Amino acid sequence: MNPSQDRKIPAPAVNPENQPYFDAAAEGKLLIKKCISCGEFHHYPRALCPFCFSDQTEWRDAKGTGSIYTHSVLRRGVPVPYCIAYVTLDEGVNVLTNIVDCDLDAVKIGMKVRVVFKPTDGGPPVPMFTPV
Amino acid sequence: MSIKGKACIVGAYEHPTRKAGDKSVAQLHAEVAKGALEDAGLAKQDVDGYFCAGDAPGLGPLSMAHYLGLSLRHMASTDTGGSSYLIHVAHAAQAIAAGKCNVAQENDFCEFSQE
Ligand SMILES: [Zn+2]
Repeated sequence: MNPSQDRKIPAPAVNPENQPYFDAAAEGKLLIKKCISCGEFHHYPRALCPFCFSDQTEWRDAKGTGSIYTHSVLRRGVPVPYCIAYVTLDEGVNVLTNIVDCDLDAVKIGMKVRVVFKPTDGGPPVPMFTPV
Repeated sequence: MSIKGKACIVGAYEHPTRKAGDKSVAQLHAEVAKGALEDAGLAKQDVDGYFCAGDAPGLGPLSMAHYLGLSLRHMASTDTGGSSYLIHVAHAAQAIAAGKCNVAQENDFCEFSQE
């Protein structure tokens, strides 16, 4: 019943393709990629659209809100229990993430969430989600 | 039993980039995959087999299929250094002959040491 504590999060692997995503995260903004050839959003961000292979992909500001598609709370073998989840953003893409700053026993599929940014061990912050 | 004549190479692509400081490894794999498909006159929806070695990021063919948005029936990731890719061609031909897949994509990527 304890609210989740912050755990040590490893630094993400930043590369030229996702650099703008993590630069934005450092400023507290969530970006997603949109393909201007086929119109689809995708995540994680790629240079080539995973729907049509076009290289005409652009960064867009995400609203930062969504709902929990599915989740699992890890308690065994980890120093601090945490909740891994897929969140479906309002833009329609699924994001593999953690649900944080809440009672992990109360996390439910379909719950509305909003993005928060959590510091990492020596890298840029990563987007995670908390119930609204 | 011979698999001679059961499979053929229908497309190829060599990435023009030599020093790719502005691209991720997955992106290079993807751009090569796209180029080979265009050379073959095929779409990515046609690809149902994928082969790559240890130079591919993450979990190899699993991660690359996710990156590329491929829907696969067969994948393999034999890693024998620089000879991986010749073995992939043989394995792809065998997989096609055995009916495991129809269109196999093989990504050969040599990463030279960075300065
Ligand atoms: Zn597209």
